[in-house]
Amino acid sequence: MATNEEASERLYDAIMALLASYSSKLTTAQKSRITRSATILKAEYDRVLGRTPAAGYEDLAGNLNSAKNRLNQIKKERKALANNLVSAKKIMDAMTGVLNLII
Amino acid sequence: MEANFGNHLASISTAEWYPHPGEGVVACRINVLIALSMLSVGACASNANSNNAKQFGLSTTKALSTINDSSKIQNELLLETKTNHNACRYLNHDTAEQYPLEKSDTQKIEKIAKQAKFLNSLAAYAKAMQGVTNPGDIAELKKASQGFAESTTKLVSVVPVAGVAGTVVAPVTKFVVNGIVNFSEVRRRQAIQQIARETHPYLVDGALFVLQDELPISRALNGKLTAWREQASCVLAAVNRDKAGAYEIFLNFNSKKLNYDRRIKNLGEGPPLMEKVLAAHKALFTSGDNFDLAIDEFNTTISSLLEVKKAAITN
Repeated sequence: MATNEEASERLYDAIMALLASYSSKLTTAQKSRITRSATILKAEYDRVLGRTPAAGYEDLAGNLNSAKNRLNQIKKERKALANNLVSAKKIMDAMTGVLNLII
Repeated sequence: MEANFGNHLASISTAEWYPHPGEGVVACRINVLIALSMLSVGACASNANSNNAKQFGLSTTKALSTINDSSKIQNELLLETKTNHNACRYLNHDTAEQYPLEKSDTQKIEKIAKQAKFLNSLAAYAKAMQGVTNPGDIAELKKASQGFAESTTKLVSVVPVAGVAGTVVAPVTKFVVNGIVNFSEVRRRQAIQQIARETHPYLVDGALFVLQDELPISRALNGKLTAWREQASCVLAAVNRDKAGAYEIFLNFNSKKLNYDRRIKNLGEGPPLMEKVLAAHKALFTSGDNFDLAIDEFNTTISSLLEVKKAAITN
């Protein structure tokens, strides 16, 4: 029996295949059929994963913004580490000078 | 590397180190650093992955330029409809409003604005993904860590542990400091991948919205195009056909009409492009390759992405 994880992967792949098959060359009826199928599969995908999908574009913008902020935070932390190492180097150099004098 | 490291560890752990006055603190610090560096050896073994950020940037650019064209089409249509409406009134000596503008003809399509907002945050997210892998920042960190390692080595070599300090402590210190920096970089990469993993379902939501909205948006734009045609026809009807330039006016309207038809039709390519964005984004956290991010190319794709975004905003 497939686990939820596996089931969601299969549903995901099916949704992706439908998205990929969409095209400007299709008739309106064909487009509607693809959209209907993808919508049903997507509802199942969310159900299997036990997640509440975004209610609309606004929700998504919020989530993407928070992901963006987390990425920027990582960037800041790397910068802070580099700055700390530079400060530490200065302290080390100062200590080396003092030790040279007293040893 | 690891075998070598083991030898250094053995040398440092020998008790004879400690009786020397003044060096206890240094030895202790080094042990802490060694403990940290051992973590880094373990972390390096877990191969964080993928140079697919480049692909993610590329596909996002493509998808955005296609899907965002809806805003441009709309803005061009609305502006020209209004202009033609004025021209129509002017040519008819402002007498009859044969083809009055309906309020619905001048209103913006709400879905397009909402979609554009989502696409802009997608672009901002992609830009942050580029920023967090900025090669300059990583190089700066490496340089800082090397400077720190060298200074630590110098400091340790000053401490009188004759014969041992130079040969054992210096290479260990360098290795340890670089280890810590590598360790933290691996952790950052893992964190970046985790963010991508958590964000992915929302991109699936977004792709479905784009799919669901393609027909309604195209339909609404075709409605705007009908209003545009009515005003264009009014202008054409008012133009004296025998006069020079009438044919050019007709040609101009005709080629514009064909162009709008083509572009509205092309919006149907948006959903398959979103599939490509998702595939590239998924590779960020599932691919087993080295998480190198092919930074130069990624930078290039992001700058073109931002140009697309700029174009979308100005329209």
